[in-house]
Amino acid sequence: MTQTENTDDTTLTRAVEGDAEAFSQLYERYVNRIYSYIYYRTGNVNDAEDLTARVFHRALGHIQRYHDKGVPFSAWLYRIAHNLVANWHRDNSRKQEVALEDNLQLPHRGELPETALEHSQDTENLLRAIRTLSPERQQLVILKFVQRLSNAEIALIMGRSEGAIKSLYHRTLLALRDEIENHFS
Amino acid sequence: MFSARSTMTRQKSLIEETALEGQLFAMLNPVQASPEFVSSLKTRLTSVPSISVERNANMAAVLVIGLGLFAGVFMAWAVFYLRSLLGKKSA
Repeated sequence: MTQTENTDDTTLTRAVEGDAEAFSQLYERYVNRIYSYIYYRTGNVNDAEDLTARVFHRALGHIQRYHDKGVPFSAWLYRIAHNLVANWHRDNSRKQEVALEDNLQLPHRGELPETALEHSQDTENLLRAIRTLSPERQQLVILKFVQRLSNAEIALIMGRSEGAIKSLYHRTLLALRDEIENHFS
Repeated sequence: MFSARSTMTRQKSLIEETALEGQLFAMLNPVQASPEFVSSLKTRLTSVPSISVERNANMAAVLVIGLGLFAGVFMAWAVFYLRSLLGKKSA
């Protein structure tokens, strides 16, 4: 994230000044990361696409107010995505419960059918266990293992210190391990 | 004895954590948005909305007629007002 952010500087400045082409470049750079994050949080393609579109519409609408105060552009996008997903979960819990593992289809590397089936069952159990975590811990797991971000980068996105993320990460792994042991082993 | 058991438990816990981390890294892969969605959203974001405000072609004529009507009504009112003033004075 950091290396890309540095090369982003001029593009970002142009986008903040209202250059549509520059915003388009930023969009292309981040759209899949934001989509992937939202997909894991919502569990279905339609809502992931809808929320991804909203993230970028909101970013476009507010980009002139974006000031680099030590928060990279990608972290700013993740924060928008996190807030929209939180609203989505709140609205959804009022309507109906959508289980992540019911819909989520994850990409598998080239596998034999029986291996893929086994893998799929394991993944399903793992996702079910992740689903039992608090939203904050789910966010951490996705940023860490799907987005492959460092603790420092996650700290910027979640607005916490690196030490706090380290500690939260450790507690999350313990909680996840217990959940898997108690319910899925 | 107790210390050795405690160290062993910690080591076991560490190994389990590492195994779980490996499992998570292996199973949770990033997903890609469909190219159609990416491209259509890009178009929606970058295209300027083609909304234009239509102006009435006869705006000048409407303004002239409006001003004329206003001036006519004002003059009529002024005449009546002056007449009533003169009437009061003569009485």
